[in-house]
Amino acid sequence: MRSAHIVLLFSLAVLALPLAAQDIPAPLATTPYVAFEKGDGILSLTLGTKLPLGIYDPNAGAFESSTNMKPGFAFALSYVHFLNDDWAFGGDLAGAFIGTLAERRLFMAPLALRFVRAFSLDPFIIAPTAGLGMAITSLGEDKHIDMLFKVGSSFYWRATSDISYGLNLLFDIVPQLYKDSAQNRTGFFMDATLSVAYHL
Amino acid sequence: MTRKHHKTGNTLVLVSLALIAVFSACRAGPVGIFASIAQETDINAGRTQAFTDANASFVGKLNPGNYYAIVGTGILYERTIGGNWSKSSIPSGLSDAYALSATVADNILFVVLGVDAPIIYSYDGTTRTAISFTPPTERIVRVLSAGTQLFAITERLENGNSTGKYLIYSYDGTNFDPEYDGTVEGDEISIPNSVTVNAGTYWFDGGSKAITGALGAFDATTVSPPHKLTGVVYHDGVIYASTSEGRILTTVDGTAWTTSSEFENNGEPINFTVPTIVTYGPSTILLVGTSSGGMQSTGSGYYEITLGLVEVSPRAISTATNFDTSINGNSLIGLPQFVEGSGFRVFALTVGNGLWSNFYNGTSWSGWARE
Repeated sequence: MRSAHIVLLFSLAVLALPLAAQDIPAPLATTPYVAFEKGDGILSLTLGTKLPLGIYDPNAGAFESSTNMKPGFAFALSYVHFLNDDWAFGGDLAGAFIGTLAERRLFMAPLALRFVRAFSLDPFIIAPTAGLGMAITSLGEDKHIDMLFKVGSSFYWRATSDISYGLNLLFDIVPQLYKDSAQNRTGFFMDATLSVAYHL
Repeated sequence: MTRKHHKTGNTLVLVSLALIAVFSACRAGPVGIFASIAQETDINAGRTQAFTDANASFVGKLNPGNYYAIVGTGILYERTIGGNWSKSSIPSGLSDAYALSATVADNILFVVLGVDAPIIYSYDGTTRTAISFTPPTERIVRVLSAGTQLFAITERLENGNSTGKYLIYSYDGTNFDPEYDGTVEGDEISIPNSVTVNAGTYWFDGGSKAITGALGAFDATTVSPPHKLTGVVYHDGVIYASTSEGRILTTVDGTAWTTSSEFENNGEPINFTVPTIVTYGPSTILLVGTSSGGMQSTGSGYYEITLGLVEVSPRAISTATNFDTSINGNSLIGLPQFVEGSGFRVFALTVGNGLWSNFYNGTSWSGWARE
């Protein structure tokens, strides 16, 4: 008789299993988190310092012994537009004022178009970048427009869904070419700046 | 891409194009910008803080090696060769210690002290001695020297007020003797800025006239064609005179004058100040300071001119970068020079930008740097 009870209870339990399973919600289809997607944009305002790293003299085949420039003030307004989840393309309107040894003031406006690769480490984003453009330089009455190569990376902390704060380390390479090749020099600069970025 | 994103991107592109258009219209100078910066020298290594933005009106030297300068609000400074500038002592008991003018003659420093009732004192490096010279109805306004000869310039007063009429006195070691009276109608002159000498004949710039002659026989010579003289210097048988109309004149004896072509800045004649002859190595050039005035709103440093009265190009005693980063754009009162060791030093007396100097060591120039 006791065995019959056990067999009955086991049978009920087995029969009840499918009913219990019907109370557990079916799992959702998983979608990987993406920080950006195609069509997103980042508009950022940047302030910081521009550090002259060196001046290369191609005629001498060596760097000048001193840049004769002091750390300057750099600013930029940038916009990048995401082409897909990872890659973005954009540009900078930038400028910098740099004091020189002889109390002159170099104004430099590096205008670049660049690609950005965004790596998301939520809530952080690492965004290495490289691009080309032009550097407008002005010293006293002299002005010049030259090629610009820009490379570096931004490091963002996404504070909200709309706002990120960033640290930027970007390098500018500016080869200055003149009719008188004796005047040719290439300038190397580094921007160490902070940004506030608005996610569009 | 949303419509809003398009708008942001387009705005950035438009602003970029506008900036490029603006800067494309600007000129590329002959000197590379980065190259120019790399050539800069430290113009402030020996800077004297008190000279910042000050007027410098005089530098003189007592041999073997003490410089004296009037900088700022009539303050007399001194320094040894290689030393720092410090305020120089003046005779005690003076109520007005404003150094109005100074010069060195026969290795003695002469200083005009005071504004309302100036006096002249001498300093031989050891003793300061007041010189008794108080012409009635006149006020001492300037001292000048050529060689070993000292001159005093006075202004005639009427009821204690200026008349703009000047007189020239020479100093014989004891007294000041009248040499030229510019108070006589028809003999008026501008206040002389300089004097030079050739074989006992002295020359002063006096505006529309040059005052010239041996001691006791000064006379005014009217420059023909008319020019306003602002400075004179003698070299190798020729008197070089600067003008306020952008020209350099030359004469041997005052009877005939040759005139350079017009030196211009922005299409307008330069207002030249007192010239200096600089000889270094195989080169001899005329350095002429410039000043605001006339058609010039600002000074433009100095011009380097050959003895053939042609501008030197490229620059001779400083690089283009050094000139641009030093006294270019400044008004200069003068460019006195002094032997210093085996070389010599040229000073630039600026209006409002302190005192500068450039040292030639026998081989090369140091470049302009602040004193």
